[in-house]
Amino acid sequence: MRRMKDLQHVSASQVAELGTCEYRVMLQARHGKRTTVAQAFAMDEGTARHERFHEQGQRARVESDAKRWCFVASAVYGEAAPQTAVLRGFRDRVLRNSRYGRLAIRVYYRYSPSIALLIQRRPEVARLMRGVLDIVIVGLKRLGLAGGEQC
Amino acid sequence: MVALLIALAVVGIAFAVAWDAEGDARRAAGTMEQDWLPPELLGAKLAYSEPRPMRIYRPVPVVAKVDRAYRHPEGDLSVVEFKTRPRHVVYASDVLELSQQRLVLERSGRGKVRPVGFVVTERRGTDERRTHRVKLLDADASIEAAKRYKGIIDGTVTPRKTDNTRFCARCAFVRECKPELVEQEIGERSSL
Repeated sequence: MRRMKDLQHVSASQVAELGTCEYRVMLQARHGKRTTVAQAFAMDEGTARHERFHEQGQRARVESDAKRWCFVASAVYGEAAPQTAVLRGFRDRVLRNSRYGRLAIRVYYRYSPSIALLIQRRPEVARLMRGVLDIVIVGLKRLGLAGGEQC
Repeated sequence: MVALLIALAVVGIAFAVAWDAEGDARRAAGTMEQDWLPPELLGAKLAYSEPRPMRIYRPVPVVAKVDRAYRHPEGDLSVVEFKTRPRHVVYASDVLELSQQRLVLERSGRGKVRPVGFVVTERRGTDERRTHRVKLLDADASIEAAKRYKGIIDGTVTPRKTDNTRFCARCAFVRECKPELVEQEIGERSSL
């Protein structure tokens, strides 16, 4: 019996070639893929631009996640860590209640994805941010500005 | 208190660096997300952005890489395909590709896909992006297209030649397919 994994898959981009020329599909199957110099150049450029589009997609996804979470704190301590909860609480109970605080939140949402990406890529930045945020958290607690448990 | 101020200063510097880096990245990218995102997708969340290829085995084995798929608050998806072109045009091949992606997303249980998809064209040389709405094929027509492709490869289906001579002039198989076009071009060149 033929196993499922042995089935030869047709890719979406291969099927799409039917919309260009079916005869070329047949010739490619018979003689192998062939490209002109101009086509090869266009394909290289297309691949590079595709990667850029993909990178922008990743950034957009991080940005949309950042709006729901304290993304920098989550990247440094973890999403469920008590330190993250303190910073979330500070954001929601202190910053949200003032005009300048809301402005600060907007600035945070705008730029925190870049910091979060940097933290993910560079462990030394994560260590530095952890040290800094530890001091911020201690300061917030001493000043009585630390929030509660939830975001 | 001094330590807190220093810590806040470091956080401020981190934001300044991030602001600068992000500015560079966006300038390098040349285009912003909101420049091309159609209104239909503004409330939707990016669910897939070219992850590993998705596969289905039935009713026909198809594999698809989804450039982007957005999930709407209602739970259904919209597919987006990115193309680099010399002009802002959409081809039948784009509709076929997006329709195959729709088939794979639906049959692999990732969710229902809306019948209208989007092709984002980026014009070479200018980086300008434009979004085009396209009506996708239904599941039956997509399955038929995949089967037709397999049939052409297996030799059980007779392929049709395109009528687009501009496409033929750029095709690497023009000598095998339409030698008269090559002869005509050689004739035109020698008469110049």
